[in-house]
Amino acid sequence: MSECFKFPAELTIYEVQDVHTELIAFLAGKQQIALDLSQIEELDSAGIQLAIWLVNYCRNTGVQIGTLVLSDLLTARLSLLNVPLSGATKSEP
Amino acid sequence: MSKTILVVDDSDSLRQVVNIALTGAGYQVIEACDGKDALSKLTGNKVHLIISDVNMPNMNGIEFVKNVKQLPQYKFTPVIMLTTENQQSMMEEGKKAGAKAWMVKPFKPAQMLQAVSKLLMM
Amino acid sequence: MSVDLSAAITTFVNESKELLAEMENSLLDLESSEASADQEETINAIFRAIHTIKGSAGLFGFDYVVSLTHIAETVLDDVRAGNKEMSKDLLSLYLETGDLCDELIQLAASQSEPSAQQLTQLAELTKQFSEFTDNVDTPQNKDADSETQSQDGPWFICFVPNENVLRNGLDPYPFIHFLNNEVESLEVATNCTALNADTPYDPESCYLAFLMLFQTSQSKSVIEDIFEFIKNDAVVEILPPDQCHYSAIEDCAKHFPDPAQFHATLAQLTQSRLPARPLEPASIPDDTEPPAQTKGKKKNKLHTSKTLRVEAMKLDRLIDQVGEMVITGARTNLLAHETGNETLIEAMALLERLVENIRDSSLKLRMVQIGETFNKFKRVVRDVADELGKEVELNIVGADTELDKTFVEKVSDPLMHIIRNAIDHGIESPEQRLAAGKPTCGQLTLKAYHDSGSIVIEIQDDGQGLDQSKIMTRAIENGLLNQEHSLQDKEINLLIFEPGFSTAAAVTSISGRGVGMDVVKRNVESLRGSVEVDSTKGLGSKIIIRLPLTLSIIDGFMFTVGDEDYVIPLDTVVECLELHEVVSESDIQDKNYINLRTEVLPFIRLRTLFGIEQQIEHAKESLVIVQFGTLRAGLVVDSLQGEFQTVVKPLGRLFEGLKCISGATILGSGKVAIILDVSALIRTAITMYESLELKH
Repeated sequence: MSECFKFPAELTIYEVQDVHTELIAFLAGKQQIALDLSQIEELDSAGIQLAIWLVNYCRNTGVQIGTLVLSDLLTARLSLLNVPLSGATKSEP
Repeated sequence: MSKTILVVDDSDSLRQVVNIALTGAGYQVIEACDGKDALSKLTGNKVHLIISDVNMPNMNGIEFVKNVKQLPQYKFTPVIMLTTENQQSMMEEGKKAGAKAWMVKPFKPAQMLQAVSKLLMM
Repeated sequence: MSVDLSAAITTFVNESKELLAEMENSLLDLESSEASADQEETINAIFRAIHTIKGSAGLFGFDYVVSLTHIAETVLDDVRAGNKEMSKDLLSLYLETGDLCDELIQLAASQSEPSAQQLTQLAELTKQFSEFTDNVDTPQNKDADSETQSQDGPWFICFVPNENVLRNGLDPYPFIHFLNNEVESLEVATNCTALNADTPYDPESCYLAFLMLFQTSQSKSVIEDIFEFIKNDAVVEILPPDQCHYSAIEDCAKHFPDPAQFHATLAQLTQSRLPARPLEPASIPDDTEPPAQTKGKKKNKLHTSKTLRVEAMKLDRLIDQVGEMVITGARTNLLAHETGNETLIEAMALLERLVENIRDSSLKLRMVQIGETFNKFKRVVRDVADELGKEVELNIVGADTELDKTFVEKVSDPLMHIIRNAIDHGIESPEQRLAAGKPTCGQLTLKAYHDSGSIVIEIQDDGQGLDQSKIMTRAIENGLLNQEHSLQDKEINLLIFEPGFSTAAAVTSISGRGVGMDVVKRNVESLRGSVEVDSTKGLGSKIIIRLPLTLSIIDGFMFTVGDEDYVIPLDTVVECLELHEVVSESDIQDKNYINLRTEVLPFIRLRTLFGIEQQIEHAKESLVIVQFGTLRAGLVVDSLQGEFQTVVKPLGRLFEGLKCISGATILGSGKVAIILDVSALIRTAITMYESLELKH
């Protein structure tokens, strides 16, 4: 079973350092994970960037993302920037 | 979840107009009449953007921004400085202090709204 | 978007009034003070006032105000920087500016246009200011763009934020979002390959770069403006259609953190929108920042303002409610006493004390310093003295003396008139003064202080004083006096308060036709005050106005006459005595005075005054000695009731003419007690005494 990392509701420049540290710790030694970004309601470029980085990082380090759920807000912003997060599914309403 | 904006200026009428404009656009507004007042209001509330005049008694705008940027929870918060045409040189100091945006007085409320929307997502 | 600004406009109008008043004071201070240290701070204060008004006026689009304050501010900046002196001429310009600014603000707020005369004055002031400064910059004008707007074809932007942009508190996303709302068909390609790098990831650095295509009919400067705040922390290359050539786009690769990735990102955009190769190289626009001008250093002195703005109406309501509380408290106290319950009575006493404290604190809220009113006169004195060719120095003593705010407006006009009079008729011209051995500069002193429950305002000048023979002559001319009348000096001086009285040979436009002084007296008396005059020929005059401290809630002293209770302010009570202990029944018969110790005390029997025919025993009557100002009299009443917190309720207009009555109050029992006007009573007593004495 893959463990799930649930992102906090706020992912801005103020939170990214800590979340990044938590993610590194979370990912250590894992092969398959689930990512829940569905609760993100406050988001800036630093947060968007962190999400992109995470997906890239997993791909580069061979960690499989089983489930990836994004909040509507995150989806909308990624859409404007034209950044598809591979393997992403929209959050259930 | 609307964002909160702190408006710092010693002119009551300016604060009132900016307040009306911002509230009308869906933001929450906190007012302060000078740097000291503003700093005390920052500690009790979560503020997402700061609009501050440069010319104020008790603590001028530049001092205020320097102080704000020392506070960990406001390190990255955008600051719009209000200045007059004759004092655009102040902007250099303002930028060094950490204010990245400015508006020259007199400005129209709509201009303020535009500036805010470039710095803050609703 | 339109925003309802009417409430804000009202705030602005009030705020500007205050600022302009402060500015005027500062300017007048500058004129009189020599110390340069003070000067700097004063000039800063003036600057702040103009600056604030300009900023706020701009918000509402009050263009005339903006234009006037703009040039005034520019010149003042020069003065602050030390490039210009604040000469007397310049100072007068600023005084004039303040006046015109006030008028323009009023007009703008009521959406009226300035008159032709005002516009001429505005132009004149602007011109005069311009002569004081070299760097006259034209007021801000958002000029229409000179660039042609017919731009077909795609726009291209290469937007690469610096690595530190996020740390600096800026966010690229809202700019892109804003652009999306301003233009059509926005396409964004984001390069995040930098996030793949082997170097450890720093979440606070920015690794993103953007390439964008869109359509718009806006001009380049408008699009540039969108990125104004971030352009110093990012590369923002904007290529409008006419510059959107293949090579120009290729050239943007250099801005990418990894130029090799540039094409990969470019490939994400709709290729058909991009120009094909090859075309002539286009010039890349150059962003230069405006040169920074160094102005004089700003020094901000600390000044603490610990005041709070409160709507006057709210304060009045509070006082009303406190009044009701006092009355209800009195009633409850009565009931408590009736029950005889000791604990309850004690508790009520404590409550009464608390109510008194609240009463006092609330009343204090209504008190404002008279200094505010006095300061207004500085300007008046300057202008009037100038106009009459006299030199007058105004001294203010006791500016921090407080009085009820309702008095402030009402006392202002009388004071104004007295001051004008003093300068016009009192203080002599410089030549006359020299001849009289006085310094050429006349002294006019405004003094305020508290004295046993009243506020006293003195206006003293060192001018020529009242000429008593002239007054007598004029009085006889006017039929006020007969030749035989011999009056004391004090009484002669009081004649100037009679209607139509003026010994001035020439009636000037300043003090008018002598209708002023009697109106002054009436105004003061309508406030339950009194006015006296002290004068020595050749040395000067002093006018003394007395006003009660407050009209709303007072410490009262109650007594009974006939079946009714009456109240007078406790402060006016000097002594209470049993009448028969002071004077025998026969001594008091047909007389209007009592020989009390060494004093002659005029008195009134209130029973008589109120038309109560029944007499009561002499042994039962009491004497209350009252004082208002320097005048004393005795009131003969039936019995004394003691101290009593009195909430003053005004009587209806029907009663306005009644001389000795100033209001009413509601007792704890629910009955109404009349409040007597002690000042009027004393004057009545004295008048009766004098007329009786004159008969003898």
